Amino acid sequence: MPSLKTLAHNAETDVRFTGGHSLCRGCGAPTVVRTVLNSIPTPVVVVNATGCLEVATTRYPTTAWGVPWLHLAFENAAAAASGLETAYRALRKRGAIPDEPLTFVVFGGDGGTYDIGLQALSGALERGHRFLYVCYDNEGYMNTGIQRSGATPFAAATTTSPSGRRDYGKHQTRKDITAIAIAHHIPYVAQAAISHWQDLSDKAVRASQQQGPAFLNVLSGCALGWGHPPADTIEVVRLAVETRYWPLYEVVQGHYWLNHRPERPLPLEEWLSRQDRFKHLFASENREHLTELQALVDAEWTQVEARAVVDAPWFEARPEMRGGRV
Amino acid sequence: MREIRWHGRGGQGAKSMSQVLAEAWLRQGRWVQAFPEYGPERSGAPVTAYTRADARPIRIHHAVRNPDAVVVLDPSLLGEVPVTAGLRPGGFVLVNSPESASSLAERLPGVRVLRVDGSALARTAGGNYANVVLLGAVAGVLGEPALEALQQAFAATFAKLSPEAVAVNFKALEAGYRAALEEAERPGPGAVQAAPTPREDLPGAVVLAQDAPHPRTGGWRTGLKPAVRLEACVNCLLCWVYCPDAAILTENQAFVGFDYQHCKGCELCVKACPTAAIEMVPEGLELVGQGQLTPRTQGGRHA
Repeated sequence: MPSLKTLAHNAETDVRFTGGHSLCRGCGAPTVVRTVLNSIPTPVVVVNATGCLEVATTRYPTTAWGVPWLHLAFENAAAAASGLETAYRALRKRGAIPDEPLTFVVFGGDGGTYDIGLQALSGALERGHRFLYVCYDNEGYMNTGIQRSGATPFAAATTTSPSGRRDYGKHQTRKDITAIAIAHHIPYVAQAAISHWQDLSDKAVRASQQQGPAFLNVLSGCALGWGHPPADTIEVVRLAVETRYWPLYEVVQGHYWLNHRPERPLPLEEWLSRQDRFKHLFASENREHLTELQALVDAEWTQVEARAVVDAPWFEARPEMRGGRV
Repeated sequence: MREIRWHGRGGQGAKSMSQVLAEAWLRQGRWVQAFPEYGPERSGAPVTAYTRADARPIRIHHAVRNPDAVVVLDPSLLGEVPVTAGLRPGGFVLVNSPESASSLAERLPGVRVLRVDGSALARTAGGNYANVVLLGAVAGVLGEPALEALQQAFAATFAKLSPEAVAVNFKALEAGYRAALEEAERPGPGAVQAAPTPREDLPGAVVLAQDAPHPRTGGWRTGLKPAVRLEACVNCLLCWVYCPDAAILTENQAFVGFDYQHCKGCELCVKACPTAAIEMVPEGLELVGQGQLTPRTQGGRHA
């Protein structure tokens, strides 16, 4: 599995993503992109759905991308990647282009993945195209001013699910996009977080080696939308993992492997209290919603953990199929 | 027609002030426009805004190319954005800066430069926002709209502010208005600026990363930059992996310093460093190499 020295070496010899973009101070998205792209050994083609990442890295006439890069709308990144991959396969078969390995990587935010691009994503996963879809999940439409998305957690305040005297933030629960991807019975699905770069890097490598679709849901961060100092982005995401809010796991051919089991899980409040979007949950009248959110988190963790326990023998028979523990 | 161009950074209120100015002119019976121009606006990124006012209806709907006045809310933009582009003969550039007007004029040759220390005046008035002072100042130099109209427009635009906050901002507006009057009386060279040539756009052009200019996002920093005690660095590269701006420089997979042209000063490297080898230091502090503290400059907790 790649070390940071390997990633740095790759970045020195083949610059795939540079600075000079206009993403916010302390943004989490570049860490997703750089870690994923610097981990994949083959040349890559990047397909980028609309979102913060796309808008801020390609201000005309500049670009932060050192790879072939295609911009798509919110809704069709996965469809365009399907077409690219199919054309590439056809041209290779015909001998029109060299028979060299190439990885197609889609980057989409949670808006472009959970919500607007879901239909195209579902189609591409079901058809079995060989590509890696990476969702950099910052839990809201941050680019357009912090509106709620299907990824916004229950009770989080956004500009369209505000908290106040009459309300406690988002009423609905977060959509489990990772589970939706798993339900497509594709070879590889994983959840990762920017705070655990080694786990993310390993998963990018494993995902890129699959013969069919792979889906990576990476918890990124958003200082502006979550409401914390830019310097805290990594720490806040780490707390999401350590409080079990965001389980790090992978699903190989339908089998669950849990990559991280916090020895002493922290109470959810440790994560919530660091973000302004959950500030209102600490008021006495909102305590019940905090309890409700904790119950949702516990239920998801229990479900993933139970599956991992059931599937442990499958991995024991095939140790090469699973990632490490972090 | 009066045409004003505002330069600021996302979050400094260039857009708001362009609107308040238009609102004030509207109250004096003028036809007005106010609109911002930005790409993906990010807190700290350069932002441009425009204000137009005329006694007749305004039929044009494009960015201001030949302004009568340019307002620069953040002096760090001077090296980053062509603030004097297209300035009309007789026009002026008003800069928010503690620096003297003559030293600013050296950096902006050939144009009339006026300066107002908006940040200091805002503090004296009890507020934090230099943009309000600069709004007062630009109106002061132009001789319109009247201070009262500005105050009414401000109160109408920021109707949700408390009466105390409004009072503070009224004071800031007035301070800017008066400071500018003094400043404008100082004789200075007139402006002779050619209009800019329109950018040649290339539809469908392929932009390669190595050819494209990389915007210098180092100007986003707000007074502090990272520095390293290299002897304490264990070369774990955690700062490298977590830097959003690829501003950690490596050679042969070893940390060598910072790319200050692109570092936005987010401090994630400081937080990521397990040996506390990286710390934030004042922008002006003298460093060696690509951001190393010398024994002399190692102040604070490392002294």
